Amino acid sequence: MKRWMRVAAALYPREWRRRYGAEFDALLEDIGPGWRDFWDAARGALEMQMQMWSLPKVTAIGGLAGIILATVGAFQVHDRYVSYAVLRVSRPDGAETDSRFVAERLGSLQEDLLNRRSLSEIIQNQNLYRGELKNLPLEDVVLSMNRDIQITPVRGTPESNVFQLAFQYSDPAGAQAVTRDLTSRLIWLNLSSAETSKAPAERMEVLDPANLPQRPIGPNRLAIAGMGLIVGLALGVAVWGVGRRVRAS
Amino acid sequence: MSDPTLLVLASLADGDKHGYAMMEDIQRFANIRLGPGTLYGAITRLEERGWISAVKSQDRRQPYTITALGRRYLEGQIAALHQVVQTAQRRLKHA
Repeated sequence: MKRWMRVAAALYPREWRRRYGAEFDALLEDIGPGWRDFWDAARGALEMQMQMWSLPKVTAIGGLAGIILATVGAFQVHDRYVSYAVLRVSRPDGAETDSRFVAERLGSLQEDLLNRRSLSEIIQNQNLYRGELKNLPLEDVVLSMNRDIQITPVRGTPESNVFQLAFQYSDPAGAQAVTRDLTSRLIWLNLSSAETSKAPAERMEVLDPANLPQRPIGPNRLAIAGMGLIVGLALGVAVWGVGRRVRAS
Repeated sequence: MSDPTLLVLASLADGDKHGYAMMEDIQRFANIRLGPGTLYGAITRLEERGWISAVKSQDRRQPYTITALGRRYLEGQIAALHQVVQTAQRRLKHA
């Protein structure tokens, strides 16, 4: 216990130890301290440290700690790549299509494209999410994959029947392979659903095949480090405020 | 009345004491055991405010004395506490 008490005493600020260190050590020898005294001394040391820190010092320490922790955290997160494919859907008779028609058609196809069976198959075929599958059940990984797939109309084009299929993944080749797979499955689903309903199938063409992403879209490590800096500075100011309040009480 | 600074002032009111003597005294009259960190936190604050001061000593155990300012503060606190106690007693009697 004596060693622990020496550790607690050493936690006090240097200036404080210069003034009170000898008598504090004498007190610790007299009382024959236990664990309660250790915690009390450690808490006292923390309070004293907080009281003695100046605002610039404590905010600088907070900011530095925030930026270091955020940067370390940001590098733990894998890069994210997005592969896109652009498709066009048209009525079998060539009649004009509007965005509502495209939304309805895609809505019904999406249910089959993104169901559990379809996505599980893709995960297994492409050997995706290996790390996640070690810790999570397949259901959770499927849900996460579903969130990484986006099927959205392409805005800003004169045609309202053009849409984009995108998949986000930690590996560019994997992102491209899955987007390609999803594109083929969507076309196949369009044909097979028409066959089932014995109606002519909508025409679905690939305008841009799945690309191989060259640059990651995230994470924005600079932004994360910046956030860490801001949070660290704010915590520094809060700690300084608490220290002042303790000192005033 | 568990404010460590008030307990230390009350302990020093009847004479100079070092840290360990204060701890024992407070334990006796208030039945509160102040930990070493709490005691020295209070001593530091009281000395900064000029309510207590260190007495010259050759011993590692540094004795402290209450100053006139500290005595005035303690008297003020006791008067306020006394007022609270009296009010509470009166209300309890009439409840």
